[in-house]
Amino acid sequence: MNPLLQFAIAEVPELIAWFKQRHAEAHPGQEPLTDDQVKAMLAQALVSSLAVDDNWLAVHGG
Amino acid sequence: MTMREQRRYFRAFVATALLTFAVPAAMMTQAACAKAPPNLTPVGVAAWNKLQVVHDLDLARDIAIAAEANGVIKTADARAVVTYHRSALRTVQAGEAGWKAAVSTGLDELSRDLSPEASQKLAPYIALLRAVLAGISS
Repeated sequence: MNPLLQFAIAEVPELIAWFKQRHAEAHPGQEPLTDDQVKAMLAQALVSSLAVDDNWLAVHGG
Repeated sequence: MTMREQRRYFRAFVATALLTFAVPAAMMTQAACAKAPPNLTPVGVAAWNKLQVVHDLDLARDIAIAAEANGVIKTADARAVVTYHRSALRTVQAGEAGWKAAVSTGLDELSRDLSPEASQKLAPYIALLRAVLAGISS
């Protein structure tokens, strides 16, 4: 294998770790979302959006 | 033409321009960028996909409401969109198998129910919703 390519492949994990660290520094407090958090976000979005529909239809004769 | 009329025409012009160009572009970008975080399990990914569909449905509904408020589409057309939106959300909320097909079928029915003018104006949103639905696995 080309030594340059071998070196690049060997460095990939370190590069990824460096990018992750920089991203974490730039966005402090942003943990990856969990399943439960996404499910809660979905439930909340459904409830609030349905309320908009109901209100609009109540005013506009739905 | 009075100042008030000028303002109304200007708002209708801006709403039409947004409806035609800016919002579909933003929606397309949003649909393209909304990948599920890699740490989620299949259950979390399914919820994530539903959340993206809800956001895109909301955008189409909000556009229809704003367009109606600015006289760009008729109230009957906006009512058809909002009624479809409510039905689609309830289908997503029920979470039964085949929810995606049901939402797509409703979209086909909505396209048929709209007036030709509204159908033409809302076509980019309907097409994008179809693309979003086709692009998700569950």
